[in-house]
Amino acid sequence: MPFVALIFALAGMGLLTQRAHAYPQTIAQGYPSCRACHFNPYGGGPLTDYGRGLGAIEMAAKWTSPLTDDERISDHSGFLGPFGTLPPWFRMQAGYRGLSLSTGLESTRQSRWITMQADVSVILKDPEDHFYAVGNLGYVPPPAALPAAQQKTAETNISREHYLAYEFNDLFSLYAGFMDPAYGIRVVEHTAYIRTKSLLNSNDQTHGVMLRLMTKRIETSIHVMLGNLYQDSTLRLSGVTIPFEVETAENTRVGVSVFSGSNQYRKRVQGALYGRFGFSPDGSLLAQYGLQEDTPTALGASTRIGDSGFLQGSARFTRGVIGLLTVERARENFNVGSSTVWRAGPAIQIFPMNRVELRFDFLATHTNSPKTVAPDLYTLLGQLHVWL
Amino acid sequence: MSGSKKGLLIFTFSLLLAGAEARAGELLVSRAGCHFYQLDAGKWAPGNRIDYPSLGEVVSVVPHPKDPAYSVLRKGGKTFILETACLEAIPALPPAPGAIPALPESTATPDPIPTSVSEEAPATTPTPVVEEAPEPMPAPVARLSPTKRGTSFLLSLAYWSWQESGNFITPDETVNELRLNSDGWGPAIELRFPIGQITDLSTRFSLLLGGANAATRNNNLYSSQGSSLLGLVMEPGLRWNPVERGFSMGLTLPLSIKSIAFPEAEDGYLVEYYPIRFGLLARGGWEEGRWGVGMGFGFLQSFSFPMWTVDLNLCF
Repeated sequence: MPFVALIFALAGMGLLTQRAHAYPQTIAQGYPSCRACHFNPYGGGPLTDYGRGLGAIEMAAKWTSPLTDDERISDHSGFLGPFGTLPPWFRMQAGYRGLSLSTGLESTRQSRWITMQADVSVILKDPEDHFYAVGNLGYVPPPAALPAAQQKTAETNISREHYLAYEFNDLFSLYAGFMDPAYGIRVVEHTAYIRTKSLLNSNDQTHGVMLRLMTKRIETSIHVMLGNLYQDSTLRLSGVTIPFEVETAENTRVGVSVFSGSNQYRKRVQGALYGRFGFSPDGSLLAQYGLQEDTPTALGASTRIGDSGFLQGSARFTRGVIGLLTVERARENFNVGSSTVWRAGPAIQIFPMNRVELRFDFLATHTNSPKTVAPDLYTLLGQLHVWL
Repeated sequence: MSGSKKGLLIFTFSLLLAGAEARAGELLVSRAGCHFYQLDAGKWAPGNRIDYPSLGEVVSVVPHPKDPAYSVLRKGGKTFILETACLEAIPALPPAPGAIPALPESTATPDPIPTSVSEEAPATTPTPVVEEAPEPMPAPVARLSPTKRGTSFLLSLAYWSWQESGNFITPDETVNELRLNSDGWGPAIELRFPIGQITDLSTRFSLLLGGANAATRNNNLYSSQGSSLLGLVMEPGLRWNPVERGFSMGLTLPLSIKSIAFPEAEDGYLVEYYPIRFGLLARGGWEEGRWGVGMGFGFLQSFSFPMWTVDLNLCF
């Protein structure tokens, strides 16, 4: 196992590649805002035509493509590929992301396959993209922790976003519906501590209204959250979240996000400082550090203040091959002697062709506990992501 | 210049000389060989990286990812595409003049020939290699010898974390596995000695002030928390900066020497807890100007335990 991990580490740092080329991570390439490539202004969800084209010619390798001309590759990046184009008022995207999760590499290895995403998105829009409606429907597997009997009756349909968007002009746009709270860096790793500790996991969307302001250097929003209306009313986390980001230099964007929400059982206030830094077209750094205050409403329960941090460097070794190195930390509660968890490891992200992504992560989780010394845990992740 | 040449590849690349009164050191490369005002004859070959400390510039020459007939010159995050033949055709220049004169007016303003080359668009229709004799070359107006990359020096603030093992022996000579978590912050220095166009031999020294927790698997036997740690990590290694300074990667062999003030156990003692450990670490660095962030991940103690580090660097 250690040798496998070492190979990952070496590959993650590009030592197994013969030559390094610049990889224009989007911030490094001059795309500080997610809106250029995604309908959702804070990323995730279906891609715009521009995002599809950019992904096809900048991220995907051409190892298996019969096309050599990037312009044609970009032309074929739509939902129908080379078989035509959808009418300008209609867009679709279908995606599947599966994960092979292997834990206990340090002792008894256990593996399982997890379907993380299997969904279809439909976009109705005016040709200029000033007004559009996004709908998403997919499959979610029953939680593995549920007893078998309950798994059979568990809800397996899920919509992770459906909203209306109207862009008044170049400055203001309005979004209403069900979507992810706008907070911090929306990293693709939904199990990252900056997401899980901030109540921003893959199924933590909220209904609400978001007003967004975008200037040449500033992007900010106010997102009024009503909570997930599909949940029981006592669980809905309603409140407001405000991200504020400034482009301080070319390919550099720093931001702060604040979040305040509550339901019948808790009040949550959290804030995060973050930055995205492009280092020429070669690579980028994502950094975020946040504090979370959780106040249970139960009588006698004490407030918990914890933190979460994320640092990830990336570099494209050649078109379609990206190395990542990530270090994370989280602490549940500063007030008492709770554990601090660190997680670190390399990853390789491969786009062998357009519409296909393979990713392999090796993660080591290290727990600093005030009472015990737990063995470090090793996790191996293999992902397959395909989309139309 | 003839009309047929107007469509030929023209590459204009300017370097502003620090301290020069006027613009100088301008490089014009024409596919037809009409103008060559190069800075470094014979150095413009794919795979090269040319460092101009006096200019604060690094110029990288890399093969075009799509067409070997073209090369990409990169400077300050900008890319310029030109034919590889142009690079290979650059002749050697006479010895450098003692002083760098200002660029004559005639060359300070490049020939306004319409160019078919954009800085961004890939060239997909390569034209044949130079097939006509170059026109007489104007006297070079600037020449800088390609200075070898010098030794660089980094000051860092680093965080380290790792786990390792030892043993705890009870009075009845029973051996119990002991695990230790160690981490610490501290200053670090790194020296990089260039041994190639893109390769550095590096040595890094990190001083650590931190703490360590130790516990046997059976916590009733021995447990200590927050024992003070003083350590030094030495990391000889190799570092590659394959394209330009914005990103680098490396492989190092950390050697950690540490002292941990464990409280003495009443009913046993610690053994096989070694103050010196070896490891292997893969490193990445992201640098902009003098500042940078480094990260490393690897293993300590015969690949048995992971270790990682994060550092903030200031480069001199």
